[in-house]
Amino acid sequence: MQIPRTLTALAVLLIAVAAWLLLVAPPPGVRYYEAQEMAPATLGADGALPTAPPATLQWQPANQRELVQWRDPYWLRWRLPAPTAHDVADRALRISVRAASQPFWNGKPLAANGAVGRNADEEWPGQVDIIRVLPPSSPSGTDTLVLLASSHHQWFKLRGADAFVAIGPAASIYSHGIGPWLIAALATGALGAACLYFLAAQRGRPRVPGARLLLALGVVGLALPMVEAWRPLVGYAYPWHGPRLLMLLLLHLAAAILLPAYLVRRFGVAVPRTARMAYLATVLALAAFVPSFDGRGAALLLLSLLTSAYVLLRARGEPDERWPILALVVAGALAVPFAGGIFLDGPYFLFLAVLMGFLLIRHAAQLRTLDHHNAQLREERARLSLQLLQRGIQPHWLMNTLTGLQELIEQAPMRASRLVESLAEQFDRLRESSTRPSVPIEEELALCRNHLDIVGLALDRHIGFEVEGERTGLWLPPGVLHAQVENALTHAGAVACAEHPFRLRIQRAGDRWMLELRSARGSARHRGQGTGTRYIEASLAATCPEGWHFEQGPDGNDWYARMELTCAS
Amino acid sequence: MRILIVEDELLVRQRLLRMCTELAGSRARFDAVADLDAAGDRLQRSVYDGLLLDLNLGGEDGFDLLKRVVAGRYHCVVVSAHRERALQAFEHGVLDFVPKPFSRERLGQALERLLDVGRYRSGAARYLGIWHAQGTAMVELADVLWIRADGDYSEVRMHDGRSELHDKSLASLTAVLPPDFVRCHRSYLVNLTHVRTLHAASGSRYWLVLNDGAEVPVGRVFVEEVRGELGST
Repeated sequence: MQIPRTLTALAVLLIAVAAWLLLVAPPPGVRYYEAQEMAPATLGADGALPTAPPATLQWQPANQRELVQWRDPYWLRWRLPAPTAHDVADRALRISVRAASQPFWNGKPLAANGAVGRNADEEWPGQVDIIRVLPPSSPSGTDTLVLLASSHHQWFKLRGADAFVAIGPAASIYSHGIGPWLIAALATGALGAACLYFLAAQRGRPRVPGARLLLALGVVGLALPMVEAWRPLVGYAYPWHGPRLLMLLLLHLAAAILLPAYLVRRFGVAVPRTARMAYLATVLALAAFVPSFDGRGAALLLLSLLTSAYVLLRARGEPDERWPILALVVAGALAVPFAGGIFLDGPYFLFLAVLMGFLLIRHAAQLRTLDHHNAQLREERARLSLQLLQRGIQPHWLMNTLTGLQELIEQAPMRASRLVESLAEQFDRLRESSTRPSVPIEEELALCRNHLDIVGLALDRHIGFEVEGERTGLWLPPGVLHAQVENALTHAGAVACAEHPFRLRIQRAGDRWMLELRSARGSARHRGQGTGTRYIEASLAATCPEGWHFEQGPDGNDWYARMELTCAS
Repeated sequence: MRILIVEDELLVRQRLLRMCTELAGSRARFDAVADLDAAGDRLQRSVYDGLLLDLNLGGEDGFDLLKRVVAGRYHCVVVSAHRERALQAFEHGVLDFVPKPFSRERLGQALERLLDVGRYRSGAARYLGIWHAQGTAMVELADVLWIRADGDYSEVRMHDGRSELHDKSLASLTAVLPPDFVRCHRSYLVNLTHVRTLHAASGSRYWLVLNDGAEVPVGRVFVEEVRGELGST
């Protein structure tokens, strides 16, 4: 089953990423140009902007790392080849510069982006990305784009200015960037639906390990594409660029912590506290000290995916669940070094959406399985409860006791009266015990002693039940000792039980309880194979599914029964 | 008459012994044991005419003993808490089934049947237990053609031609056999379901012809009863 599931998960991821890459490719006719030249600008004392680029500027080759540090007004220049005749009309220009800017196309001003100023007060921040319809090209064969810009509101220290322009047909320039985000929106919608499905499946049910971590991962998976899509789909003024990058870093950081943490919790992998702390310290160090935001995101992603793969390899059991997750994680880990920044810009959150979608759906399926298991457990408990009551009033014992009572009424009325009281107490205890999955040992002992009292009254002899060992905090499924007492009375006989009292020894080792009951052996051949034994085993299995053991058999003159429970207290 | 009580509960055993002794008076002597081993031992050592038996003794199924004892010469009355097994007990040829707890009157009824077997007839048995060296074999009464007196025993003839010897006398068996079995002769009980016709010959001689062609004599004193039974079937 794990192979088709693994292949399905990988196929969904590959289809999503391939569709993204197909749509993100530049449309035909669109050309990208990084800033070619830059020069400091000097504004007049009155702060008035020049109406055209001065001819006396000290141009120098553009350096993005140096440019990112410039705040005061500066000039940027692009010399662009003029278009060929067939695509001369309907051309547009996209300028991506983190600044307030005033573009000049062949010396003529285009619409401004914010207001360039000599200081932060004078400047009105512009959008990071702007689009302008281009006037006709220069007949000289070369178009010149000059940009007067200022970046006084750039609070974050970034590694590069990333100033570039794209020129092409207006339709392509305006629509480019929307296509891939449709894929992202589809993935985000699917992830949102998976989150809602998970919440609905979780509602009213006991929590399974890692549910909160998974939901937190889901929130990260939903937030990441939204923050990523903010720039291309909505746009923002350039001072928001730093906070947006910081938000993305925090989301990458959260994903890097939550994904391995969820897998550790989900598959019950034991991880020492020191290892957890070391991982956390490494993740924080990467987020703080790796040079660029992209570098930090890639490092965090790679570390979390490698750690997750390690966790999945260390986990045991549930191959149907682990292998598809491992395949996705390994695919992601391989993509990071090969695809680098491209992976982070888009396929990363597609990868996260597919992974999260898979995890949420599988987690919800696990909840349903757990629900089914709990329903079976409830049914089993109801059956056992009924069985306990039926055993308590089984015809053979009850009718014999009533017949004995008839005789006692004639022979010894006082004993008959005590027998009626004991019988009433026995039924009351059985009714009370049968409503609960487990009872304190004292209640179970009282039920046993009450039963022995009834049999002893009929026999006119006391039948002892001795208990040895500390028993504080011990809880048992109801009727498991009572069933053993009944078996001894049935198979060895009441007289033998009166001569050979019951001896219960209780021991505890950590959270494990051992109960050894010795009783009269008797000579019945079928002891230990009847409904009593089946009831004991079914009760222990229903109440202590994590660990129980029951064995019994002759041991010298005794009948020896040993019961072990790990969930009794 | 000597009757053995087999009951593991002390008080119930005491009650049975006390009541039976009071009810039977001088007509019977009673012994009581608590388990199957002691019962088997007593039955081997002494001759008993009847048995009062609990079906569940020390967790063991009393039906094993029941199958053995109904194959013997004595009759059996079951005294048990397992009311649901009454029909099964009758099918195996017990004379009566007394459910626990029981009154003096109900026990008295069962005891009367045991003490005066000859007065009662038409039981509900479906099987007849036959003692063999290997154990007790159960014969289905539907397969029996006729039963003939053989001293203190009875010869049982099956439709496949086999014959078995049963420990009970013909008179004793009458008390547990179903109404299909009719006395047609001083020494014969016939299964009416296997009878084809009743033939009469000169000299007031009568005989029954069975489905397989075999013939069974009919005594003059039984002719009218047989004719009546055949007419009603």
